Formats: sequence, structure tokens, C-alpha cells
Amino acid sequence: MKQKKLTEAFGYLGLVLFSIVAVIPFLYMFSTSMLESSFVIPYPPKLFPTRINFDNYILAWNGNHFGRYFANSLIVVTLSTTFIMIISCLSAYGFSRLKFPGRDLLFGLFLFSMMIPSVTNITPIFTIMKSLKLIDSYFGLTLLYTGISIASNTYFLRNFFLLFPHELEEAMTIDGGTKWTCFVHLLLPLSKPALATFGILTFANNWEEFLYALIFIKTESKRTLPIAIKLFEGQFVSNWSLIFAASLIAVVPILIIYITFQKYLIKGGSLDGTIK
Amino acid sequence: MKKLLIVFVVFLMVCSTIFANGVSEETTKDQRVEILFWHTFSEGAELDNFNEVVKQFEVENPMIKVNSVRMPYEGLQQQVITAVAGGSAPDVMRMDIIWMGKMASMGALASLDEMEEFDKYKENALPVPLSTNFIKDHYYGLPLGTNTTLAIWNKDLLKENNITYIPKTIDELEKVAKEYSNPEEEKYFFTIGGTYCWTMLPWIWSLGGDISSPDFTRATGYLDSPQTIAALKRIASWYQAGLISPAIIGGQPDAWTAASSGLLPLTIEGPWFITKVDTPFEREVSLIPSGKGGSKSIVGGEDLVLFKDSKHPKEAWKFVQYLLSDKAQLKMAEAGMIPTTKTAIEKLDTSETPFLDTFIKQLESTKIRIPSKNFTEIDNYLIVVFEKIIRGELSAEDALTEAAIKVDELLK
Amino acid sequence: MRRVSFGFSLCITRKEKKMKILKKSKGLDQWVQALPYILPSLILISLFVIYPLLKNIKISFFNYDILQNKTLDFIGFKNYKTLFNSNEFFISLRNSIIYTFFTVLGQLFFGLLLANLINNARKNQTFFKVVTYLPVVTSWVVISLLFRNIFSAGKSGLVNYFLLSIHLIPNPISWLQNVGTANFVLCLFGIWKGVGWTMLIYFAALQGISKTLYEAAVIDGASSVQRFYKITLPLVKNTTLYLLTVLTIGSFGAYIHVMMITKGGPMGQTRELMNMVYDTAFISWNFSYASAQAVIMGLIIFLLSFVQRKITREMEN
Repeated sequence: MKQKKLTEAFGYLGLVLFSIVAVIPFLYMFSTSMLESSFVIPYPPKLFPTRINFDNYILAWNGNHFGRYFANSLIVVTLSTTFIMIISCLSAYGFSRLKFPGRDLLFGLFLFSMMIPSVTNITPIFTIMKSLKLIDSYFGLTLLYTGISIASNTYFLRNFFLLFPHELEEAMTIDGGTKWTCFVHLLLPLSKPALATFGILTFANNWEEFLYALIFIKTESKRTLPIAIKLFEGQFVSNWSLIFAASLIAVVPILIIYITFQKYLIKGGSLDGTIK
Repeated sequence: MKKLLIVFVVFLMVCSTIFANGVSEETTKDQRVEILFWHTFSEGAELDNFNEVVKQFEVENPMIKVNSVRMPYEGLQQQVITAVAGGSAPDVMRMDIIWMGKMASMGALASLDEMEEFDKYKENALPVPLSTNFIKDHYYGLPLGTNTTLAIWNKDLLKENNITYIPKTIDELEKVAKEYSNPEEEKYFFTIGGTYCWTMLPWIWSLGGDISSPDFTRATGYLDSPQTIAALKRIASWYQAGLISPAIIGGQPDAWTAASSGLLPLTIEGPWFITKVDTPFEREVSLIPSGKGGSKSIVGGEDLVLFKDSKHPKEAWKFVQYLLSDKAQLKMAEAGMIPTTKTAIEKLDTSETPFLDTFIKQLESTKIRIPSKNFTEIDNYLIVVFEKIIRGELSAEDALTEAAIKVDELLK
Repeated sequence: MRRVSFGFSLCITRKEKKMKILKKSKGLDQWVQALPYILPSLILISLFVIYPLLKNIKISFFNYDILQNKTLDFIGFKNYKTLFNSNEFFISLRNSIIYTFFTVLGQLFFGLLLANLINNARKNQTFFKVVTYLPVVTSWVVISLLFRNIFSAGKSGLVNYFLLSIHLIPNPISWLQNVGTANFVLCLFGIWKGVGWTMLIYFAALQGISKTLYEAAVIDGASSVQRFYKITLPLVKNTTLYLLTVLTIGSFGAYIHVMMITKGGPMGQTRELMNMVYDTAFISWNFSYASAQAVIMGLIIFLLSFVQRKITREMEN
């Protein structure tokens, strides 16, 4: 009993220590955002604000079309996250629970495509987007985001889907189910932790994506949030207190999604009893 | 559940396609020629004034519509490369002068010498900023904004330390700095922002050295000349003796932070240090302390360029001409931009901003960075070379002799 | 005699043919069944990943005019030869390997540790989950600047100040001015920034482990450390393998941390492979050479993944 309490206490201590370290940059950003118009990041670093005022937050929201781009991001990222989740689940199911000739080779190709850096891909991608008339459209951007992440998404979900024992599917097939019903009514509900994690990570990734959103959305009124934040940066001087305020506002939706979806990461035993 | 999901997705897709197509329909309706202009003006007075200039241009040229798009600095190079390669380049752009060498040599820009009345604008442009546009015997742009760096003094700090005389020469500066600086207490009189061209060249030039021939074709004989070697040796001695802070080799606090936080009596900076930053201490400007080479500084700024594949070069050129008119230049000057035409500079009213007079004076004694297509590579290479000299890893003679050969290759 | 054997062999081939046709049609059937699931992803990946990849591999063997988007003359393996002859490549490779090695191991270790601790914590799970994830969503630029600040040389740098005050070091360390310590700072940054992500994935994996296993182990008298080694570790093996590959790819692809913390210094000694590719592409605009570098990087990562898999298989046995 004592040992259990001791290990628990140690565990807690570790968590608290790490949390402190994790929170420090945030405090730094937060206290700098409280300063009045600072073109300098305070040196030595200030961790605790001397006064609390949210002027910079109001300025940030009203500047550089921030509010507009925030709304745009909400639309485009929700759309793309949903789309990506659907396509990725289908793809991962195909590569994990279905057998077809060349499956593993094809999956290997997916994996290999993840290994070559894609910085120089920008020009061929531009050519394709242009010829398919996908430039300046959110749908086009969604397709692009899906395409460039499908390999790693398939890999991620496939790992979780592979863990399911075949008995479950066999039981379902005996009861008259098809592959599709297995997928929708059996696999997906039982994969809630994986799907929730996947949803959070995809949302966060797309929310922060800057370069492709910059290059492929041409109309200024349709731009996304990361661009608004970069627009706060000046050529020679940047108003850091304003930029940090803007960055902190931008982080809020990710945290909201995180907190909302993490309750699906319920404690284990998801497979217990289902076979019975 | 499945049905709901499908309905939701379809709904979102419909929304986005409506949203997507909504805006672009408008512009195809009118008869005007539309030109696309990319810029990086900051939000606030700069952008507002510029937009007014654009509006006025459209009033005076009713058949031309200017689609002016503001770009963030980050990712701008990728954007330009992708746009040109993909056939979607803008018509006109306000481009950093540093990119001119590469863009022009790679064939992205249209040469302007043949444009109507080009000579008139060439004559009226400030000579040094104009020279950044002269690549391989042609002019590929005209300067729109210009800036330079000079000596900005922290008067409060000088007063506290009983320094009443502002040094005018490098020798005087060294003397004052020796008395003031104390590396143990991390107290430095001034610093150099880094070992890159923008921060090093004013000192190298003022000390009588240079990194290339005046026609920018050779580095041997210049980068490895006795004057340049002596200049680098001197700068290295400042670091070794603790007169300048370690910011030059990347130490913290960096030059900007130190200057803005009131830690340095002297900083070498551009006009933005005064126009954009409010400091609790009083500042005074003066020309860069002079050495054997005089008081030389470096030129920065933007040039207006036309892209070669533009479908509306005539209209684009009209817009460029308008932006260089005195009316437009002075309007933009209200927001802090230093005009680039001789006539506008004469008309400029600096009564509210007297420090601009000193900047304009320093501008007369400036040089440009090499307008070669490999300038950035040369800069990146020299950063490491200069750092090695400053740190004492290599002697100035050895380092610069080797560097001159390498830079010669890059200048071919 | 011959007639019989001839007829016999005909029978055999017919049977073999039938088998082959059956196999083929079975294979085709399987494809038809799988297609609705994998077709969208196949189309999208071909368009946006495979096609650009093949194009890049192609242009690495030619001179390439980026602005005209045209391949010029064939230069064979010239780019590859230049790469293997450059000092820069080997220094960058060394740095990338050091960075990858330490950050991947660090993230795996601390990620699993944290996931475990949070999983076992009875209160405040959500709080800890959110806080440990914060570094992942904070911008690279901000964290890099912060690291530059706190690891600054001299007595006033936060880390130096702390270490000096507890008398761990006699003199302040010039963290970013020496290659060894600079690489250390970069690795620390990598671990710190990514561990929340790894934690989240391990946490999801831990949900799949049945509680009853632990309960049985407790009854058998196993300590928490034993439970970790005998139950947790083996059962998250798949996730670990996945993370190993993905984190390796990610570490090789990182470049902002070098740009912002050390700026490649001191004297360009901390640059990593990705910085080299990025500069070649977007400073020199030499897409042909950059593509060759990207291909080599891909092969190196592939080799590493292969080796990682082999080692983990060996360790199992």
C-alpha cells in the first residue's frame, strides 16, 4: 500500500515538473502580450505580467482582417478535417482489413512517399492544381491537404485497425453483415480513442498550415488565420506583444477541440466483453 | 449516424463552393484591364496612404483596375517562384532590392529600358538606389522605397556616463568605447548585428575596404586587399577587446533587443528604429563614424518590377510611372517612406521629422550590395568567413585570400 | 503411350489454367471489393505526392530551369557526385543523425512515460493532457526565440544563472557558441516540442490495453515497474514501431529550429540536411540539385527505418 502511494506521488511530481516546463513559453508569450506595443521581446525574459490588460487582444482581433481570416479558417479546417477523416478511415480499413493482391507493396509505396522531403514539390503541385482549376478554392485546398497527408494518416489508423481480432468480424459476417457494416458498425465505434486522437491531430495540423494556404488561396478575403498572424510581422520591426496576442487567440480553437475530443480517449478495456 | 455525416459533409462542400466562386465573378464583368500588384506594405498609415494613391491612379486612369494584394514576408520567395513557374505571376511587384540580381538573371523580369519615357524616370531616380536595378547591362526596375543605416545615439546613456562629445570618426569612437566598455559587467558601447553584409559593409567600407570591384565582376584585389584585411582585423580587435558585444557572433541579447532596451549608447540602425519604436530614452542621429573610406553606409529598399510574362505591360508601366510621380511619392512619404526621386526629395517637408535630413544625407554616401544573381550565396558564405576571422579561428589574410577565390567563382 | 501422356498433360494444363483464372478472378474480386475504400486515397496521393515525387527524381538528373518549368540538358549523376563530394553534406548528415537519434529516443521515452503517468493519475487527467500538449501547438518561432534567450552565454542567461547558483558549473557555458552544446540545445528543443504529440498517441494506444491484465498482475504481486516492462511495453509495440518511423521522418524534416536558434552556427556547423535542401531550393533556386538531395535524404531515411525494424525484430527474439 505504501509503495503504491509512493509511486503515485512520484508520478504526480514528474507530471507537475513537466507541466511547469511546458507552460513556461506560454507564460512568456502571455506576459509579453500584456505589454504595451513592444517591438522587442523582453530581455531578460519576463514570465509574469506586471499588469493585465487585453488591449493587444482587441487590437489583434481587429487588425489585418484577423477576425475574417479566423472565420475562414474555421470553415476550411472543419471541412478538411472531416473530409480527411472519412477518406483516411476508408483507406486505412482497405489496407488493414481487406486483402487484395499487391496490398502490402502498395502500402510500402505509401510509406516510401513519406520519406522523401516535399519542399520541391510545390511547383508540380501548383501545375496540377492549376490544370484542375482547384486554385483559390477551399475544396481544392481540402483535396491537397488530404493528398499530402493520406500516406501518414493511413499508416496511423491502419496500426489501430490491425489490432482488432478477426473473430469480431467473423461473428458479424455470420450474422449476415458485409464488409461495410463491419466497418461502420463495428470497427469505427470501437476505434474511438484512435479516431479522437486522429481528429485532434488533423485539426491542429490544418489549423496551422501556412505555405499551401498562402500559395493556393489568391483572394485576400478568403485567406486563413496563419496568414493573418504572419501579416503582423513587419519588414524590419515586429510588434511582438501584438503578434503573441494574435498567436494565443489562434491557439484557442485547437485547445477547445482537444479538450472536447479528449473525453473520447476513455480509459481502456474497449475490447473486453465485445466478443462475448 | 452515417446519413447525418454524409449530409453534413455535402453541406460543407456546397458552402465552400458557393463561397469559393462568389468573389471572383465580379471582376470579369467590367471592361477595365486588371493588373495584379504584389506588395508588402504594413498595415496602418503605410497601407492606407498607398491605397489612396492606388485609388487616385484608378480615377485618373479609368480603364485600369489595380488588384493590389498584400503579402506576408514569410514564404514570399516561394510564392514568387511558384507563381512564375506556374504561369501565374503578378504584373507588377514591389520587390526587395536584394532579389533583383536573381530574378533578373533567371529571366523572370521584363527589362524596362525600352519602355516609353524610361529615360526620364531614370534621370530622376536617386542614383544609388537606381543602380540596384542595373543587371547585365539592362534596367529591370525603378526604385520605389529606399533606406539606409546610420549612427543612432542613446542620449540618456551618454549623459549618464559624462560623454558630451559624439564621436565623428572611428578613431574617436574606439577611444570612447575603450573607456566605457566592460565585458565582465556585460557593458558594451556598441555592437554589430551579425557578420552578414548588411551590418558589416558600412564598417568595412568606412574603414577603406571593399568586397568586390566597382563593376561587381571580381573579388580578388578587393576582398583580399590590404585595406579590407586591415578593416577586418580592426573589427575583430573590437570583439576581442570587448568593445562590441558578442551579438556579432550570435550572442544574446541581439543588437536590436540591446538597442531597444537601452543597453547600448550607440546602435547602427535604419529609420524604422525611430519611426516605429518608442523608446523611453532620447535618441540622436549622426552619420556613421568615418574612417579611411569616409562615412559610408549601405542601401536597402524596394524596386518596382514588371514580370516578363505579364499580359498587360503597358498598363503595368503606367502604374509604375504613377507611383514615381511626385504626388504619389510625397503621399507615401507621409507614412515614413523615404522618396526615391530627386524631385520628390526636394519637395519633402522634414520639419516634423528632422532626423530624415540626416538619413537623406547619409544616403548620398552609400553603396549597394552586389547585384549578382548569387548574392545571397555570397552573403551566406561571407557570414561564415567573417565569423571565423572575428573569433580568431582564421587569420584575416588566410581567410580573405581563400574567400576572394570562392567569391570570384560565384560572381561569374 | 504418347497419346495418353499428351492427353494427360492437356488435362493438367487445363486444371492449372482454371486455377490461375480462379486466382486471377479472386484477385480481381478482392480489388473490386477494396476499390471503393482505397480509390479516393490512391487518386489523391498519385496527384499530389507520387507525381511530384517522380518529377523530382527525374529533374535531379537534368539541368532545370525553374522559372520556365522546363528540364534542360541531361547531366546524369552529376548532382549526386557533387553532393557526395561536399563537406557540407557530411556535416549536415552528422548533425541530422545526432538530432534524430536523441530526439526520437527522447520523445519515445518521455512520451510513453508521460502517457503512463497520466493514464494512472486519478485526478486532473485533462489538465495534464492539455498542458503537456501545449508545446506542440506553440509556434516554432516563439519557442526557438525563447530557447535562444534562456540558453544565452554569459551569467544572465537563465540556464547559466540557474546552474551557477546551484554550483553545478564553475563558469557560464557558451551554449550556442560551441558545436557540442549547440547540438545539445537543439536536441533538447526537439524532444521538448514533440513529446506532447508522442504522449497523445501512446495514450490512445494505452486505452486498448485491457484493465484485467493489470489487475491480474497486481494479484500476482508484480510491482509497477514490472507491470510496465511486462505488460505495457510489449502491448504498445506496434505504436512504438509506428512512432519510430514517423518521428524519424519528422526529425529529418525539421529545419526551423536550426534557422531560429543557432542560425546554422557556430560557423555553419549545426546545419542539418533539411536546411541544406531548403537553402538549395529557395536561396540558390537550384531545384535540380535540391531534388537530388531530397532523393538521397529519402534513401537515408528508408535505410534507417529498415535498420530500426531489423533491430526491433532482433530484440523481440
